[in-house]
Amino acid sequence: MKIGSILATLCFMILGAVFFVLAGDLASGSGGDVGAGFFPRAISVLMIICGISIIMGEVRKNSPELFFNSFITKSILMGLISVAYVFFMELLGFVIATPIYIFAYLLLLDQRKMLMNTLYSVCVTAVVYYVFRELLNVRLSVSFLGI
Amino acid sequence: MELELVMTAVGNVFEPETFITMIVGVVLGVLIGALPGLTATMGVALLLPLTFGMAPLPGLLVLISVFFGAIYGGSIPAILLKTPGTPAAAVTVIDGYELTKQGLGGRAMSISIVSAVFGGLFSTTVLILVAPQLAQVALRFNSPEYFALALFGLSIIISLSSTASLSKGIMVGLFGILISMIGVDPIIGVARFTFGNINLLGGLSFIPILIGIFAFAQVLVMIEELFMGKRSDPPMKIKSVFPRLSDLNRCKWTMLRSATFGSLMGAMPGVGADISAYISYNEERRWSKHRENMGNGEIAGVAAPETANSATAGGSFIPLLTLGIPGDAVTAVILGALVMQGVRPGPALFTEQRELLYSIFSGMIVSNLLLLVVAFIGLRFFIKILSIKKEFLIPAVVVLCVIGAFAINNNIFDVWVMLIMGFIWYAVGKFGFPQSPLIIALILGPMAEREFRRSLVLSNGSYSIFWESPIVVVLVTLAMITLFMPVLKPIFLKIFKPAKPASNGGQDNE
Repeated sequence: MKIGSILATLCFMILGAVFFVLAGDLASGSGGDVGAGFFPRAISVLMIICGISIIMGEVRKNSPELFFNSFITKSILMGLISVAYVFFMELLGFVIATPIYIFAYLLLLDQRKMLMNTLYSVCVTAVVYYVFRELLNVRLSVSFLGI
Repeated sequence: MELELVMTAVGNVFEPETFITMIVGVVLGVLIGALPGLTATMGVALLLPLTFGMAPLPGLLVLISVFFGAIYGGSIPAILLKTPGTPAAAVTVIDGYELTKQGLGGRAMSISIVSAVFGGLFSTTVLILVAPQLAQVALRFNSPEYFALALFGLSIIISLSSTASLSKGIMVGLFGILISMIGVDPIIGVARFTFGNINLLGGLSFIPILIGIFAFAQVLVMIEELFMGKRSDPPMKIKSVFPRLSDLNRCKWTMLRSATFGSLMGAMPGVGADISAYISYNEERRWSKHRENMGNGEIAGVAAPETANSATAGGSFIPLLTLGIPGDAVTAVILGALVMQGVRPGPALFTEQRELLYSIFSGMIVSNLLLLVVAFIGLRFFIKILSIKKEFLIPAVVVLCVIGAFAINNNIFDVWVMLIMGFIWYAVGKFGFPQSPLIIALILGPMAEREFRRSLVLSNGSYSIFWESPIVVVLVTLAMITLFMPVLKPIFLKIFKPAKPASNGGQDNE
């Protein structure tokens, strides 16, 4: 986990550095107040110091170099399908996109009972629709077809 | 007058809408806790959006019921499948599964139910007795004290959450504080780090981040485990589920000790039910009359962690209701629910909203009693639920994550936040970066900044305001000690550990 830890830490440190720079443009305070940029800058500096400590610790460790394996890659790909679901839900609407998504997901997870998959996809969509749209009055995405 | 208030409060809990939602909450909670891969925090986070349309009391009590139900529910697969349903049930596996292997799974299950309910009732009683006194102390708090309290809360959560690495826990906490500053400055009112995006003016919404890191990230972990072929064996059948008097007698002191530990630890921000269960089990190995049998199927080895983790759940409401400081990730979600319902936790709750407060207290007692009934009646059904395939659960949970995140502000931006945070935490979680400090930092970070800057405005820029108050000095000192304890402890041990006597080569000096 050494390289992964170091990379993740560097990302946090870069984020801290970016916020440090951006905080320089923020308004200063008056009447005793330290201003809008004080805390972000202080936290950013602490993040960078903390990051150096983590990297030094990781370099000294003799831990396995696990970074990516095929299972993690597959899991991320399945996660990206969820991203596609959100994208298509905006286009096709909740009622159309959701059962298609659930059905496709079940197939990708190796569930091949088509009738069961169809019933399950429709039932979950119906229950979630009813609870959120009818009971809680949450406006769910509607497609260009009006459903 | 006080008695009238209590009677009204109890009556509120037994209103049909409230009572039925509590039953639903307990059942859902047990189901969520029983299913490995789903956690109590995840369950409460996913159900939170559903409470927006409810009145404050049923909305809050359903989440509390889910919490208590889920903490107990984790013990079902822990005992029957050697797989804890929630992290809090990890220690229950040790003796619980041994008992199942010996054909005594039913006895383990029954003592687990009684222990969980006892722990919950005990800690709720402690809450009712202690909270009003603590609220009196909190009435004297001003900006410097609130800043010191936030600092103390942050230090405990960071230091106790980082089991693998203190630095990583601190980094996550700092990251949480940093992103909490996105939005509008609390004192001056200028936009910060919004990049001209109108969606960021209100800051990053807390609930989508919570759903992302606790629910969506967990889904990705479940998918990974599925691909790796990690599946649980079907649960063994159990015989009787009602507790024996002999078992109750054997565990009575265990339950009392563990309930006390759990309540105290729950009251300390940052000590979750999992840590509490572990400490309680360890203490039981030290004090119990049956310690030789611990680890080999000792019934007290199930009672100790189960009592402690439920007592911690109840105890965590002490800092939440009196000071507005969440004790753990779940109470952080409940804090979000309180705020969304227009309830301000803290001393004001004890003076201005006493009927609601007493109703919450009554609701906590009733939900524990409901758990007793639901758990015994529904145990065989809950066991059947363990056979549900994860493949079916996963897409349904993703849909709930998406719609739950969307429902907060009816804004698709929140869904993208949820997904991004979920992916980030799936990745960094593999490298030992914990989740809990992020959520608590998102809540306490803004409080720390706001109160720090308000204090300086009050004192016209003089930092002496921070050491004029003894409460501030004590809290800041405790915060520093807590943060640096993992570094200081080995040094102290080296200095104060007595030197070993020199060896005499094994010869007796007679």
